[in-house]
Amino acid sequence: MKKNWLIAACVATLLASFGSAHGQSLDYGALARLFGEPVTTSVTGSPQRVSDVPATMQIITSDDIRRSGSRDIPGVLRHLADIDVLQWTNDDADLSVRGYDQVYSPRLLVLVNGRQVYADYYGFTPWSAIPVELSDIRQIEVVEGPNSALFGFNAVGGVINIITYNPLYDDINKAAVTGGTQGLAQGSAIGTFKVGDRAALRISAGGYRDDDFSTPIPPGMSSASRGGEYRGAVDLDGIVRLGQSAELRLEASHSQVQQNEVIPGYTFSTSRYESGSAMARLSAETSVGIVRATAYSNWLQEITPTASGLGDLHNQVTVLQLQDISKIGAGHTVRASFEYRHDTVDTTPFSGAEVFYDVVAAGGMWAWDIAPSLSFTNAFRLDTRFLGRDGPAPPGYPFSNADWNRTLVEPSFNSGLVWHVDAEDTLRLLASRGVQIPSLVQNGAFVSVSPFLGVTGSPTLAPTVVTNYGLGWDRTLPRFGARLRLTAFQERTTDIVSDTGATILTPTIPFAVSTNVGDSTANGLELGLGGRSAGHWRWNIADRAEFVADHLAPGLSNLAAITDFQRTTPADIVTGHVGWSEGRWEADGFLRYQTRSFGFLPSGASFVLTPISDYVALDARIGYRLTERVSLALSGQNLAFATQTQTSGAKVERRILGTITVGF
Amino acid sequence: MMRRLIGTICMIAIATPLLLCALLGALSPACAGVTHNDLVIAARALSFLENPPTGDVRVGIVCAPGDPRSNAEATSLRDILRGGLRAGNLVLRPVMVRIDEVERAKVDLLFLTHGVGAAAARVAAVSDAKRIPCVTTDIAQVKRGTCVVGVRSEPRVEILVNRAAAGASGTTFSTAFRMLITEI
Repeated sequence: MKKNWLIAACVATLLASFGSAHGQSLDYGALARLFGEPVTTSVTGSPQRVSDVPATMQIITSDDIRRSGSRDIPGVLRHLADIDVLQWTNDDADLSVRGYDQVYSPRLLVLVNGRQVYADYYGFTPWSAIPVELSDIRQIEVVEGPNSALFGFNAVGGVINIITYNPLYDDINKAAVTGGTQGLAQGSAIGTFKVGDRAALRISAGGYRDDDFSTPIPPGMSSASRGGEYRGAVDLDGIVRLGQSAELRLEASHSQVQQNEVIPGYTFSTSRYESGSAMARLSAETSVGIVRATAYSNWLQEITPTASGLGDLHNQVTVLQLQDISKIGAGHTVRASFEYRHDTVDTTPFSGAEVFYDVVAAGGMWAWDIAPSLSFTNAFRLDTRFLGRDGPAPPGYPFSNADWNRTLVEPSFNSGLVWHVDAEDTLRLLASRGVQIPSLVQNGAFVSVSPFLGVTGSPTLAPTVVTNYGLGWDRTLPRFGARLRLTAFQERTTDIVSDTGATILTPTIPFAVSTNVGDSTANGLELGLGGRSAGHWRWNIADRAEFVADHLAPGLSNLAAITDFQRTTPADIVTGHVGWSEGRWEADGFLRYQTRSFGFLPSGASFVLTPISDYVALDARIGYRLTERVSLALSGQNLAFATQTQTSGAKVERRILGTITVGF
Repeated sequence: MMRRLIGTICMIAIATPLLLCALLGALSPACAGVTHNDLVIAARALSFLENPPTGDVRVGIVCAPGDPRSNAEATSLRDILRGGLRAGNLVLRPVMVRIDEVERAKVDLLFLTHGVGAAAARVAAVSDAKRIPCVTTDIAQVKRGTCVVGVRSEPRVEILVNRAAAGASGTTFSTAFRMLITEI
């Protein structure tokens, strides 16, 4: 009888979601409850259960985020063994998937609800400037390996798509205040509002002030003093149903950030970011499938002290996308897409010119359900980039504007065979090719001229191509409420771009310019085992072993190229998590172990590689639900030591946070 | 060179047990059987119909009186829905329907229990004629086309829709949902 009432309660819950079929945006919550696992569109563009995707993928749920005890997105992601994290300062980190991490890490494409927040003018993600609060996020989708065939250029190392709550389906109203070490004062609030059943709005805002770590900055990285750190962000997300089969989503955001960070050249800087975005997305279910048209524009201004090198960067990217996804017959899902992108950035510190490109892309995807247990997915995309430059150049500059009149045509693909061998085992065979174009800064937006030396980018750079092959095995262990995941991959990278490495002699001064420095190959193994038991315990352990071999161009040293991924990528990363909950209490502990690696440090006019000892970082959180609406949490990061070396920069410090969350 | 060699050895070392394990997995028998959670999944799937029912919904629980398994399943369903199950803007009410009386049943939804056997063809006929969705945990009935939607919750949630039966009964799921399920 008890079981029957449980069923009845579940039925009541599900039936409350009647009507979800009318909206075109996915009701992630209802679908996850139905299938017992998260649903995503980040691999093929069509909705898929995470166990069906033709990719190596992990999804971090809102529950995982809350129990991580972290105060920012990099803090959440560092609990995954497949993610490399360089925590440079209290608020700045560079992340990558499957190694190859570096300052301003360019290989990881980051999006919010499909809108790029990756700053492709310099090929990095300013995490603090992402206008999303942790309490906004329904799930963070981590796709490992190239996925350019869906997302275009720069999705080469992996993709992180941050999915926020949908105000049409989710009723989220809460505010949180956090205080902690390093003088942290942080607050956030999110509210959702419905107008009948046809319109809904989500508003979120948040911000913080804190101090940077006080550990010494390594000599050579900077002699500058640290500045104060702050962040403010607001995000508006409105959805209107247009009749029974169409939906319009409008989203706008703004963020303002000041943080201490390490910028290319491994230089310490206090940088400011001011960003804004506007997006409109029209979706309609038609006789030819689900048609979706998206237009968005991102503005970002990065202001760094000229003494540190960069100066001011004004970037604007505008994207128009059109796609149609339909299911043909019982076993074929197809997707056709078109994209136009315009990206421009002003030159700096020499001002008055701009470097820009237009990209026109067309793509297609075909997912074939060969049998109920076997599917074969192929996606292909062709991107054409038209590079250009307008405006003056300094005297003696080694290029003319005509040098930028270049067209680049690059194909990318993703193929995946997914075989549910039996009820417990799934095999994946994956192959993909992704393309990373040089950033606009590497293409010449950075122009610095002194009486003795010029530094700039180059319009002649070749794109970096990443080819990935993977074999994965998932096995559910129902007896233990656990799942085992094993993935082997090989990733080949050609034509790596470095900010420096070549010299052009001109009649006046020599120019150090960006260049392609060589190739690299990585072989790796990812192992994950995790589960839940008796409703009280959750646990997982994961390991990523990776062996990288670089092949730099003849005559080019790793120090001159500032490229040495075989030493800067740790050979092994292990993470572990144990969580417990009962009644009003929750407790979680996280461990991250990383083997010895190296990091670059400036040394005079060149660089040195400094060793980073293997380390263990320990994070933890204890939560207590005071009432139905009020909860308290005490959490900490890097708890094992007061300070710890995790990069070639300043040591990180232990952080302790206290948070009170109120629902309304 | 040494790293490359180590990497290659590792790949081989990894791939070999993977293939062996996959082979072993393929030889192990799949789980079978019906659980109560199957019914929960069935109900959840209905919310993704293009035109989900609203208001009072009479659920016809179709059983074969002579089959103990069918009777047990029908009784369980009736207990869940007894008194009317309010959910959002609709109320589910159970109606016990003997297979030999299915043509006369005045219901909005059909739940086909196990054990009805070949007589399920009568359910299909009613589903088509009255354009009423049919849901079952008896996957064989879906494969035969005598019921539209089949569900299984363990060890992995599976939803199977017979497109021909769905077309005949006017049961249409949203396009996005169709991409998440198995159609035959």
